[in-house]
Amino acid sequence: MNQSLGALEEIILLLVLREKESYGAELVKLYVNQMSKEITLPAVVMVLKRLEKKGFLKSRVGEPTAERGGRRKVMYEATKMGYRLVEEAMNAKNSIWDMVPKLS
Amino acid sequence: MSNQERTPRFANFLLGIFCRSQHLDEVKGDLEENYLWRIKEKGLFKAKLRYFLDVFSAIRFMRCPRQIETAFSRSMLFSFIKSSFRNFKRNRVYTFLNLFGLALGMAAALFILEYVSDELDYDQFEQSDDMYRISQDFVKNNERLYKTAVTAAPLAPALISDLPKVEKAARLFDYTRTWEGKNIFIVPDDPEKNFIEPDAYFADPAILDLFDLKVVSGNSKLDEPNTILFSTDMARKYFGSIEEAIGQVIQFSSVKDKPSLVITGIYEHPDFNMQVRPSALVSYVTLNNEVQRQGLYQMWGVNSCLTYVKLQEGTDLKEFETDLANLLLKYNPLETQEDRDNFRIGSLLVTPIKDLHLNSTYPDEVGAVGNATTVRILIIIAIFIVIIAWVNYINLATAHSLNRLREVGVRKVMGAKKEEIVIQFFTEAFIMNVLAFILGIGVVLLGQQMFNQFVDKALNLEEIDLLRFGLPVGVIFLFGVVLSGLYPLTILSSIGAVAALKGKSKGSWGSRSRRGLIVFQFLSSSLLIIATVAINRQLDFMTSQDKGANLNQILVLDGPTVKDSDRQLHHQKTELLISRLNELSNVLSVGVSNSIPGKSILQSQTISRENNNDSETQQYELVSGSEYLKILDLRFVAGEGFNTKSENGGTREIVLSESATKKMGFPSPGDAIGELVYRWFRGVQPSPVQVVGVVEDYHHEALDKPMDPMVFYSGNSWDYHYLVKLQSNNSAATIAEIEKAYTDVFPANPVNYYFLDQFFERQHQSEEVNSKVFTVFAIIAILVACLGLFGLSSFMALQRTKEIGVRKVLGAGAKSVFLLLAKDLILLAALGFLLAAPLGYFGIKRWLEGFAYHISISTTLFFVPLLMILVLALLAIGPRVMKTALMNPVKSLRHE
Repeated sequence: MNQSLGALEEIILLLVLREKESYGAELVKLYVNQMSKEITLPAVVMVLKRLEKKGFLKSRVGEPTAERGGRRKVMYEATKMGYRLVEEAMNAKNSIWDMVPKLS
Repeated sequence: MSNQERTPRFANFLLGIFCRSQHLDEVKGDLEENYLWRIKEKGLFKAKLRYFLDVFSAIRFMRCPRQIETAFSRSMLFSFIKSSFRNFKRNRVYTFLNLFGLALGMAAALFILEYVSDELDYDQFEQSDDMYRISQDFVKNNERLYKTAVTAAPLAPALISDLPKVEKAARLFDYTRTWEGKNIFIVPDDPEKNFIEPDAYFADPAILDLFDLKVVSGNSKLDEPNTILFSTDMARKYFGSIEEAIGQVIQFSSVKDKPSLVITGIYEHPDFNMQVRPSALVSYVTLNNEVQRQGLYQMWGVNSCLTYVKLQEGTDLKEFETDLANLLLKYNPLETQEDRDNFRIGSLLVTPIKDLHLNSTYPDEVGAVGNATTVRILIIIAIFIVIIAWVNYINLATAHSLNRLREVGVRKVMGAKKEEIVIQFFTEAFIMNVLAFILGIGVVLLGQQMFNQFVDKALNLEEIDLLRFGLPVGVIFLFGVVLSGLYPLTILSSIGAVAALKGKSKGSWGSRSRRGLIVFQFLSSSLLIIATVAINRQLDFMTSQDKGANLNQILVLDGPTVKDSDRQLHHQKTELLISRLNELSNVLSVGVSNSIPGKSILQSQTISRENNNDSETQQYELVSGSEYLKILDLRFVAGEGFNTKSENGGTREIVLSESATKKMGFPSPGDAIGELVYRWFRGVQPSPVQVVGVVEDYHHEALDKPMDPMVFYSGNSWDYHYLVKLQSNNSAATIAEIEKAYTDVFPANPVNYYFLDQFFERQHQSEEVNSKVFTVFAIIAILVACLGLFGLSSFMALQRTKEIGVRKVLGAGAKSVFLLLAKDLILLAALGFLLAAPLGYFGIKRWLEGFAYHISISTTLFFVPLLMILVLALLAIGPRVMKTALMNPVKSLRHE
């Protein structure tokens, strides 16, 4: 199975890690606020499902709330493997970034 | 929620289409949350726009991740069923052959199952696990003299008083067994109503409990004398209804005192078969009132009762039999320690009630006696026939599968997985089997009556014991479905998609094992045919063999049961009847005897040459009038018949059979003439009789029994049977005259007459049933096998059409092509036969050993079946092969 992360996947995974536990609608809000870019919800859900299938996320069915028309949310949480993967990716990027000559 | 906060309905509708249902709830919830948030942040219009964008974006869920459709989903199964039926429709001949073969096989199996169920459904009493019948073996010097199913009358009371292990014991006493004649009941107020009741018994009260007989009206007073219980059938027969019968009086006119009996109750039979199925029960104590004879019913020496016991659970049978032996020593005055020391023992043995019907070894067994071997053989035949039918299915399906390679290829290309093809084929096999089963039931319903006539039983489908057979049959059925689907499947599904599309598969493994299956089919049907031929020939032999006696044109009248107690008076009447019969114009001569050919002689007589018991031998005794030997046309080896004049003289005369003289040690039959021999009774001075003649041995019983040594006495005192030699057979007028003479002389006795040759033939009944059953099932087996061969040959011909075209173009004649195609299959059939021959040989040999006189196993016994197999096989493959062989080569070359 493909063990590398795409750019969107990486950001969603990072956001889930930051929130400890999150769900589709919240992630859309965070993404929009963080990246100042619009994104459609199905794109996010799609990514979540793919990450779950790869074993970086795990999900549970949460409590229904009124603002969702009484529907249950599906809560996602990063697995250890997900955490490691992001850590590795970030380390690699950071180490490269550190060596980039700074513009003055 | 306010109106404007409601999500757009059209978008939701689209979402329902786009999004897979398993994510729908989650996505909908998330979308709604985001929608509300966006209204707050960016206003209603933008939120709506984004909502639509989101919904369209959900289209990605439609194709990815890919939907995993399982093969077990409803729609797929439906599609399998549909395509199965399409396949059936497309290949009508193939489907018909398959269905017909399977249905026939299943029908045959169902018939057999009915028969076997009926045979096993005997004596399923509530307490039958601990119920036994006590029988008796007589042994002298470790050699068994004889054994009998009946025991002495005082046994049952002694058992109850002495052995606590015996919880219940009851006797059944059949009057006719001891005193010959028939059981006759008569309604005293209406003497026209008199019937012969072979199943009436004197009985102890406990029999009702042991035999699960439920008294449905009135009550049982079997402990009082002169009472009787009727079965429901009897009540209706004599009095029209159960209510009418209660309290009525009936007379047991064949019993010596003609006791009048009060019907105190009516009982119902349990709904399983019974070995002994009493039609009426007379209280046993009634017998104690019988004048002159009552002592007999308390004597140990007279064996006349069927004794049934219910033992405590877990009684050790060996121990119990020892107890019985000690009981005999204690009570039976004839059983002394001296006898024991001389190894002259009458030992009591117990037989479990459940074994009585099928596994009884007693020659004088009562009631319905079945045959465990027949049942076992039938079960084996049933299994064989079903297997033949399945093999047929497998064979046809595999042959056919080559034609379906392309279909499988297309399925594979379109993305069908291996499991799906597997299920497709199993569905087909399952549907075919279920259809065949239904059809088979139809065949059974149609043929039921014919089959019932064959086996002389009243069977129906409900007879099948589902508790006993349901599970195994279900398992076998499923196993068959799996088996018949599995085989063609392994060939089809293992082929790669590309090869399959090309329609090329020359699986040599497939064709080789297919050949094996054909050989197996022909092996089993050959076995059945060989068995059928052997049984029929043996039957022929038994009926056509010279019996040493002439049984033709002899009418037998059963002697009277209701008769004068004064012997002298009765003897006069016997003579009167004989002379009246002799006066009739069509009658040649009249004789009496105590036994007739076709009836086993149960009385045996100890005879010695010296006046001491050193040289005593056991012979079978037959007391007959002087005419008997003449009427039967027995051939004299030495001496001549009885000298009628000296019949009442001092020295009684005796005629021996040839083997009797040998057994007694005369060097030649002639030496016996004029000798004195001694008849022995225990404790009575032996009386000398003179040998006046020796006759050739004749078959007194059917040819499965050896010709036992016999002795004949003269005398008309034992008029159990009147033998009337007629001039011509079918003279109804003469028979009417004979009937009239009989009723004139012996009123109150129902007339019972029959022809001796027919009576003798009746002994072959079980062989006749066997022969019919084997014939039917052999026909079914060979028919099914030939169906398979026919189907196979047509597919083979189809497959090789092009090859044959080429051959013909190159100059091969129709004959050589025919031979080429036919050779393979015929050889397989012949091989099957060759393998069956030795098996058949040993089977027949073992079966024939059961007959004292039997045919020798010759090559003709096998030649006929071989010829039949070959001819039938040729007929089966002939038409298709011929067609292919004669086909225009241009056409066949264009094929494909």
